[in-house]
Amino acid sequence: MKRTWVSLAAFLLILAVGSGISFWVYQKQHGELVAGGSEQLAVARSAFTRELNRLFEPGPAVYEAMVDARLTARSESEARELFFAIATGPVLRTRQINGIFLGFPDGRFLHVQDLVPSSKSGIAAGLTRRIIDDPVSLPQGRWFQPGSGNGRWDEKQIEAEPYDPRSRPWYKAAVTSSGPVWTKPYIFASSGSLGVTYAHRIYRDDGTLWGVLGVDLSLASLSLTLLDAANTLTRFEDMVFATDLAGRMLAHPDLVRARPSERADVEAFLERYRAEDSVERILIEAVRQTDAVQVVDVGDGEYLATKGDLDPNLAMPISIYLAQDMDTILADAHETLLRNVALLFLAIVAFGSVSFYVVKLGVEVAARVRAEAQLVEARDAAEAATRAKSAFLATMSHEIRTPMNGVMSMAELLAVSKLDAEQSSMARVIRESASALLTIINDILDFSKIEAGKLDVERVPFSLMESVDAAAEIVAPRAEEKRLSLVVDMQTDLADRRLGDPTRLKQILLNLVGNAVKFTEFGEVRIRVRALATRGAGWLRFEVSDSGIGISEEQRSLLFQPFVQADQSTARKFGGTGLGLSICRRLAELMGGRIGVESTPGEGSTFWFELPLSVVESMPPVPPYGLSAARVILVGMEPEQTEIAARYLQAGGVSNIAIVSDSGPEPAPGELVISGPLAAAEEAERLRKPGGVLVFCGGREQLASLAPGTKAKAALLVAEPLTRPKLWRAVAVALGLETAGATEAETRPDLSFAPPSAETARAADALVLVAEDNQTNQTVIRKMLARMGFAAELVPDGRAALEALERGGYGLLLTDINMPEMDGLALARALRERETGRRLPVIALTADAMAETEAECLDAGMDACLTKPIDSRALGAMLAQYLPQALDLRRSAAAESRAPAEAAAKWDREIFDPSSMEEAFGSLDGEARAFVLSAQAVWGPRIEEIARALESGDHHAARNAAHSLKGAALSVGALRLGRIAGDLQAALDEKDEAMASIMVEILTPTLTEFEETVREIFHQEGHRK
Amino acid sequence: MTGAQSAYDLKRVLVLEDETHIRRIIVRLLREIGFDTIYEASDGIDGMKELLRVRPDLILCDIHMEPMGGMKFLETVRNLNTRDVANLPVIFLTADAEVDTVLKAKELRVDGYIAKPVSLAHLKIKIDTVLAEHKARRES
Repeated sequence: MKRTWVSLAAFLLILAVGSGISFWVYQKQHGELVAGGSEQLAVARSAFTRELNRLFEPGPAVYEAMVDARLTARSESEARELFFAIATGPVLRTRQINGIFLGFPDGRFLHVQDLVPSSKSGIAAGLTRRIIDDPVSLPQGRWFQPGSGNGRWDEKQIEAEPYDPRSRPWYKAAVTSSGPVWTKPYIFASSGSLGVTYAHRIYRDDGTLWGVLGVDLSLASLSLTLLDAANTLTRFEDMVFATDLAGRMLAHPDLVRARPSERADVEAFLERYRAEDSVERILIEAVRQTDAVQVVDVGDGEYLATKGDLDPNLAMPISIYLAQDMDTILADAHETLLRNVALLFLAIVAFGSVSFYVVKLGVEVAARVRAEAQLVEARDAAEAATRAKSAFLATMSHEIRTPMNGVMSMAELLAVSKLDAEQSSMARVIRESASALLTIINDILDFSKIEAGKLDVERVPFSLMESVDAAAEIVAPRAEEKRLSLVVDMQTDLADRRLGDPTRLKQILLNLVGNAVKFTEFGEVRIRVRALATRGAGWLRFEVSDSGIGISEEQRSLLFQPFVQADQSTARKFGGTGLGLSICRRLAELMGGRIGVESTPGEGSTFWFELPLSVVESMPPVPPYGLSAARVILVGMEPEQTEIAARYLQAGGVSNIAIVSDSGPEPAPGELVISGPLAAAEEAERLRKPGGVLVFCGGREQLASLAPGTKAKAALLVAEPLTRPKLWRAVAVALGLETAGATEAETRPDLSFAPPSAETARAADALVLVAEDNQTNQTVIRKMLARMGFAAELVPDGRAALEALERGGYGLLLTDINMPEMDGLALARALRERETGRRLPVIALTADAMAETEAECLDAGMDACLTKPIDSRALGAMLAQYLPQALDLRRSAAAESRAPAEAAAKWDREIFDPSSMEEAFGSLDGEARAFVLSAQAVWGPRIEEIARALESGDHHAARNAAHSLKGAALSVGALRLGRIAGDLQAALDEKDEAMASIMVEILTPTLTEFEETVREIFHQEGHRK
Repeated sequence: MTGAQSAYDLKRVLVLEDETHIRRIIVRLLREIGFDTIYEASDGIDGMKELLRVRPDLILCDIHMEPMGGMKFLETVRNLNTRDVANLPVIFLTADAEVDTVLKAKELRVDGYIAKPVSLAHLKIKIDTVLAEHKARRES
């Protein structure tokens, strides 16, 4: 609102300034134009004056010529001839001269004129001379006109009035004036036209009057001259007229333009200009008294007017008036001016507006720049906050993961140790809770890494089949727990070696398959992998379908958003962070692909993702053995499963496959019968060729619950999901290319070992040195290595590790990165520096899976990286690769399983040393036990006796009782009880009562300890027997 | 499990620690190292009784305990008449190491310190060192 007012005010200001400047310019221009007009008018005036002076020039010119002629004439007759010569010459031809004449004081008169036709005179028009040389006898004079001969004048008979020059006004005026005179305008008798007469007397040498010369000048030609002059002066278009000195109109161009009838009466014509309201009259009145140019308001307009007087010595005393209509002066200029002013106005307004806009824009831009700067600041701050938050989350997650890892690993180890039903159930709950918690933490860590922009996607060659199979294997136990069938359906001709990030691919698959298992109650979860030729080479489409609860369309749109679960109720039911799918989406996008879902609520969902995984080798996976010789019978599997198994077998080169169906006849027996859970064992066995192999496949539980007799008949048990390597291995076993034993324990065979002694391992250079400062991690690694059959030694930091390495015998170094004293990187560098002979493989244990960390490790001379929490499979694979010499040293855990009983039988021999009893009774048999129990029964009362004696101050009695107790206890083997009794006796001997009372006090717990230990031992011994 | 273990399982360890769960952890770690016979007490008085009762080969002792702390306990031990018992190796478990404490403990011939929280590797190394030194002292 405020801004609008400012804009409006600015606009008005600009308008005002524009108008002001335009008006100023207009005024200035106007003034200049008027000045220009005045100047022009002044110029015109002088031009007219010059022109009119020339008009009247013949008068004085003829006079001077006549004066000269008289002087040169020797006689009157010669003077007359000279006069005629002058007057009839070229001078007379000028149109303004109407006639030239000479009058004498004696009445004589000479006259030359160019007569206009006149019926009255009866004489022909043309040049005529009139001579009155005898005014008395012939006062009308004689008339002559040019004759036919050259220079001859013929006398003409003309009726004419008598003429006496001395009576004429011009003669009279001239005689009384010292200089030339101009008559008032009058109508010429000869021509009837208006004119004036110039008259000047001529004196003899003696000063007497000789005669008066007159020149008739037509005022009609004055008007014509004015018009001519006006036309000649092209820029002058307006009014010009002449008056006498009194201001009477003498000449006006209109007279020339007038019709001949009007022109006839010049006086009458000119009368109109004498009217009070005539423009001419007003102008004359206005400027008559001055020579300046003036602006004259004539009522209906303005005129620029001026007046000029002719040179009285040269010309008739008249004034010439010039006036120009202001409109005319300004007309052209006005138009230009208006246009200019308009343009100027527009320009100013435009410039002002533009300026204002520029200023406004500048202000706005400045504001915007400021706002942007603030935004950038805010954004930076927000990003920094996000990064800080993510970094914090990452750190926190890491801090949480370490102890969680401890909890999980320990729970896992606890679960496989000897526990009763209740305990193992509790252990399972711990493990599952920890696992769930760890998943959440991993999600948060991943998400925060993505948010922090720290998640890198690798591009390394990997096996597509192995990645997909591995993901399926990991989820398989969970699927099985829910009795869901997990199917891996891969297109078999897909190139196997691809370029991409197998870890992230597996992560997406695990997430999607994990979700599918989580949200599905019955039926199956299926992983499908197909080539996506429509998107281009290398593109693959992965689908994870389930027969679960499905997802509605609106839920679908929220699915891939962080922190959102499709349904809050499912969130409560199934838990989870809601980050999984969001992470999957980001991962898929990071890998250049996309992710999506199709679903029918109630029927199931299909999550899919498409990735460009460029092909390294175009070969699909093939088995390492030739399997074409085998005939394989498939029986007892779901039709779809059967179809996939057959396809997988074909991909492995097995062409002879028979499928047992309900409707078809039973096929001929084959080398290998693969039997699903739907077939009876007898049927399967019937289909086996003699010497052939029977393989059962199905869920682990199904396999475990097979009758022992049936199980014994199977060469191999194959747990779901069925994958190509598993099927191919079964065929290889059937063909004798592979031994079944190697794969006997499908469930974690790598964890069924016991380690060799440290000495044995050291002797074989197979001892694993672990540098790790975190106690939990130490325990985890130690246990993990032990279960995998590797002997290990632990040190808390890099320095200790270097010292330990001096002793030799190590086959591999596992090192944490962050440790006190010397960190893992420094350790690796130091090791590589001093290493001379064999290169010790070094594997880093890192808390974060950042690519740069791994690069750092490799730079420091390490061989590989493992991410915490340590995946035992990954650790096992690393050890198998880098520590092959240790594999043979592993001992079967089964062989070790007797150890726990012995361990449990361990007790502190000071509490009870059975050797004396065994010596006495031969062994710790029933009789010996009875003896021990009967002996201990009296020790309690004996101790009470000692206490009472001491309390009553009877030290002697106390001493004796203690002595007795000592003997009894030592003889039964209660060495500690005996020793304490002995110490009591000694204290009493030394009168050390304080010590004695302590000793009495500790006798009771020692007896209790003995009783408990003996009961335990006897109980266990009883079990063992 | 390792060769050294046989040496540990013949030795008795007494742990004085008032925080039950910390004591449990230490006991657990000692078992990890290979000790089989471990006795526990929750303060110096209790500890004294256990010491006299079981005659341990090694004592791990917290410093801050009520009513009798580790320092008083150590003083009592060192003042015992029985020389073998008085000279038992004692390792202090401590979360802090103030100069006064260190000087006093040194005066009372403490055999070592282990910083809490206790790590397996540190514990093992410290115990090995202390036992070896003790053995050497006794033999000399």
